[in-house]
Amino acid sequence: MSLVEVTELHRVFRTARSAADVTAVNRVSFAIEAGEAVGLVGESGSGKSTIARILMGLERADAGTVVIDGEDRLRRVRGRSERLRRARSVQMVFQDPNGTLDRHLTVGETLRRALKAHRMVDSRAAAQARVGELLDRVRLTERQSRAKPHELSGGQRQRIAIARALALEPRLVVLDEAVSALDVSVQAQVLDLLAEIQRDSGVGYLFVSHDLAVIQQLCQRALVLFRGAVVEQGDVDRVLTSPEHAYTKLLVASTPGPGWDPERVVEARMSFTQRMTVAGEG
Amino acid sequence: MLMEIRDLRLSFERDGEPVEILHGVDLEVAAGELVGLVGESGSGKSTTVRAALRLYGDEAALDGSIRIDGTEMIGAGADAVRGVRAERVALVQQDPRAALNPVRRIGDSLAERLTRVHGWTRQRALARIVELLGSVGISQPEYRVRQYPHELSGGMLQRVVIAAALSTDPKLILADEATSALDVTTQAEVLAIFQRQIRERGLGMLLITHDLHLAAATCDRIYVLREGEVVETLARPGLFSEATHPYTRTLIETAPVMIRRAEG
Repeated sequence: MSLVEVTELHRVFRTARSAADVTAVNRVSFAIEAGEAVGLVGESGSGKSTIARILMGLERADAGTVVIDGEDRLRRVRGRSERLRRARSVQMVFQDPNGTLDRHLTVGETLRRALKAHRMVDSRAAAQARVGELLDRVRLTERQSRAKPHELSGGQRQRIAIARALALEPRLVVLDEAVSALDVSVQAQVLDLLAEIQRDSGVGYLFVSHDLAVIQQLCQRALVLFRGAVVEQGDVDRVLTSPEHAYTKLLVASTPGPGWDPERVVEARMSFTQRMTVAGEG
Repeated sequence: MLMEIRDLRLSFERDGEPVEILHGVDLEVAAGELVGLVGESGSGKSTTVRAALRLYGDEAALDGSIRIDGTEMIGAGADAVRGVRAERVALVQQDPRAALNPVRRIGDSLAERLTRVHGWTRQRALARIVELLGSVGISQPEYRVRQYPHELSGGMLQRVVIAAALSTDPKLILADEATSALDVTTQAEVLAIFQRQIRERGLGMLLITHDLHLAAATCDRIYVLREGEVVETLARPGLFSEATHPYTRTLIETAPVMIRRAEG
């Protein structure tokens, strides 16, 4: 059994009376194996974040199933301990760490509180030791653990968000545009770190990004979304170097690189849009 | 030369001591040229652009020379500076929503500059706006001018802002991360618009971006900025292959690249 099994996931957002309803997620199925990184690619509005949020339990689904580590995630749970256990198994890292870190707490305190809330440690000494391990893991120093978020750089803050996610020993980490706001040199460090953690711990990643190059570097498989539906999925190199679906081809052609001609991308987009209109999909 | 910046130094005062942010930046943009200014956050890209348009007040001390279409901006009086901003340069920034008044119709926002600064009649201004919206690829422009910003997507709004920038027939466009918040296909569309405007109107353009690959794919020349200093200038045909500065090499090597098949 796979670590994550998503079947026929569906979600429609009802809009104001005047506008049409939006199918944000359209019968999406995919799996993630333990220790595997799966990239979710698509443009804004393609449903990437909605899928990530449903997996996290932050958004409900209209239909379909989500099974993570053998557990039905769409079933409502009762009681604090069951809720905490469920929260531990899947953790999330967002694009902007500022929104998820308490600015009044030091880095060390942030990690200690996460450990304590989930009863991951039974003594102060054990908490201290585990915080030290986590800081080592994301290459932050003892001195930085006494700093507050605003005293650190964007890359350092994102590493704290990763450390906090790892503190609970999750089976799956959902990363929503987690490296998109970082400068390239910092981005490279965080990507290396994520790959290393994946190798060592066997955690699975659902990596949401609009950046194909980043997906290609970190992930083993990719899912391409268009208007809420998966149009193509498979081995990351196969999907990105010899795409089969017209939309994947368009995305790949849009990524700037040597010999890139924006006029040709515009033509590709027009022919793609026409084809979609003719096919009546959407 | 449309824009010529020589030995630009800028400092702010902190605790009574001047702190230098730009340490002698040199760059130039000629008519018909697309020039890239690339660097990581905090390198001074936006500061350079803001200084060039004299958008800092007395809090910033400027030294060196900034010539835009023949006018020296450093030391120029308020009227001369306003003249350059009104007629010769346009600035396009990352967030189009911040550039448009959310409670005014798009047509009114865009026409205001033409009627109030350039003395056009409202009718003539609106006709011009409709024409420009069409030329940047907006469908049904007569209808769009009556819409409000919230009714349009980010990509559409960025085109509206570009149309606004073109409305006064500037010679130089400064695009500060103008495509960074857009989807890749929309980014390509906006760059296609820029390239066409450069070709057809002989505009000069400075593309300020953190995306080295985007700059490499589109620009005639790239300035690499680091901590307020241009560390290297890359020119065609070599571009990346001629980069020798260790910082530029690091940027090139760390930026993830899409590996494509040979057929492209």
